[in-house]
Amino acid sequence: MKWIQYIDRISEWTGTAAAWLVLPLTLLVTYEVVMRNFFNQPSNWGYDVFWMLYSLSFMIGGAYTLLRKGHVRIDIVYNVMPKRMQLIFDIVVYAVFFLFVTIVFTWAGIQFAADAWVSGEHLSTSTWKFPSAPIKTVIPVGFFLLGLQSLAELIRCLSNLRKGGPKA
Amino acid sequence: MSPEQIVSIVMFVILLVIVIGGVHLAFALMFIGLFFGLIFQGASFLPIAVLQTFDVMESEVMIAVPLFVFMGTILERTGITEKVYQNLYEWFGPVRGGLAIATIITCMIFAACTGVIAATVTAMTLIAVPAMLKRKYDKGLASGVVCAGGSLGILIPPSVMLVMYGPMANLSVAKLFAAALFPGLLLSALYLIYIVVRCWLDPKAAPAIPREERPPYNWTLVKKSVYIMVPTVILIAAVLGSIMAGVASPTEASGVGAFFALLLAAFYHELTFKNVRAAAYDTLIVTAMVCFIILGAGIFNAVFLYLGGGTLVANLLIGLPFGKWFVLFVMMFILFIGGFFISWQALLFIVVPVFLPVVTKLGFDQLWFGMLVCVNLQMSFLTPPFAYAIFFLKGSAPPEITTWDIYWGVIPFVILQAVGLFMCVVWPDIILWLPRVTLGAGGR
Repeated sequence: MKWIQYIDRISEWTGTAAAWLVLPLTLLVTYEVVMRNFFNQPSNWGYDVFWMLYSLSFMIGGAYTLLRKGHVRIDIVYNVMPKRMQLIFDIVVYAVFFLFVTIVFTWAGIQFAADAWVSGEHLSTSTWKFPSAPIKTVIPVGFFLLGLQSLAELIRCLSNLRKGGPKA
Repeated sequence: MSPEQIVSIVMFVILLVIVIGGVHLAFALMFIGLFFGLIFQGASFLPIAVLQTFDVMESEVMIAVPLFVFMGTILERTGITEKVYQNLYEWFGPVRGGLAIATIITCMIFAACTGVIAATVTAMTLIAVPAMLKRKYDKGLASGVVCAGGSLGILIPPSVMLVMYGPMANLSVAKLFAAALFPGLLLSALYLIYIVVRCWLDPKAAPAIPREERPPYNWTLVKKSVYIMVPTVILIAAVLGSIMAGVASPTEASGVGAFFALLLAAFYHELTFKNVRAAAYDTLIVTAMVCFIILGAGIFNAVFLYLGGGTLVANLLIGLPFGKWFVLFVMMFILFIGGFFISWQALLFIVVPVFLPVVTKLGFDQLWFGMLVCVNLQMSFLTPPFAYAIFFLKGSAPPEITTWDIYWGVIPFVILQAVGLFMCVVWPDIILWLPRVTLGAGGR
């Protein structure tokens, strides 16, 4: 089961990178507030950089959140199922729900980002113009990582089911 | 009723069934949304779905979510909760029910620092519950106090629930924060009154610390209190004050608040690599969980409204007899019952959007209604079988506390929350006064 370990490792790494983004976000927002209110020098890039950091963080961190079982589910019915039923239920959830959603979004996201790359589109909310393609590319990348981790969870459940053991 | 509207109802029912069955909320929303969107709008739905995603990414106010969560998790890692509780314990210990009072006040303080409840309930379970059991407090009272107090974290601003509610209902988050302050304090006051009265009627439920074991009231205690309380209180006052006075946007205040939390951690010699890393991981998980749900809700609601489900439910509700107050009662009752079985995120993003057009049509104030929802959802944290506060309590409580102790213990607090909700309905100024004086009239 080397496969699963590799995927888990990828999610660990991307999750770590995504998690640390909150630190520059904190510092930059504070810097911007100080510059605007005490030195009267608001930047023209502030807001755009903030939302890019925040969205980069949660889009890339989706896979890590799945690995750490951080996506909310209501487990009152799930908890009373026998162990074997739980595994089968999880297999259906990952194979049908997660893979469908992540494959569709990765595919649609690639087209969305490709349009931006081809047209060289620039966006702006102030006077600072930035190319939109890199941040739009985060959408397919994030969903691809999430799909990869879903696949790992699916294989983990399948192999547990075959072994007949409830061990995680 | 058009065929599309029937489909939209089917869609809604399937969603509820699979969510209660145990499919992850965010992915159930995205799946149902994509599935029905692709059937009824074809491939042209895909760009719509991706644009929904991009909308969540570009949201200015959502930037505040990771920052408020980071502020809370950093403070939690500094062990400040324990220090504050210990200090209040020394002040209130000699009073009957004093430890319960200290618990509620500690929870109020941390509710004003954090936007979620997990950290507060877990910390108080580890700190306050053993202390209360040692002093022979009633087990039900001890668990009820921690569950109810901890749940205040998501009502008293800053609150992740309010940041999520704002964009969904097209309301200003700053106004929601201002509107939430007094309902939060009202519930806290009701809890405190209940504790005092209960202990007066039934001294055995929460005995005072015996005279010989009491820590002395002296200068050292006062100085310690100042050292522990003042920095935290300044942090809260600066963050909340700047938002409610309209000086800073929630995003700006959250960033500065997180920065001050780091400084505070340094002040208490707790700013270590390990603490910051753990706080950053916790923050990421909460943020990703919240954002994926919002993303899924956006996609689901786009399809649901396209099929006309919204108007159908609105017409059904408005068609109810006995006037608009009965409609309000029905909506609140649906949320209350839903709170037993589904999580607040699901209620907020599946049920509430259906209510919003009804609220406007009936002529109720959107800001006021939003606050009623948030006060109502406080009950969902305490009503089993699906109750977050009870989960977190059970997760770290000592084994002598049984599930039934907790269930009996939370009942009075659920009743108090219902009383609080009723008071907010009868006296809307509890909600509307503060935002009106600080930020002006109107919901936006």
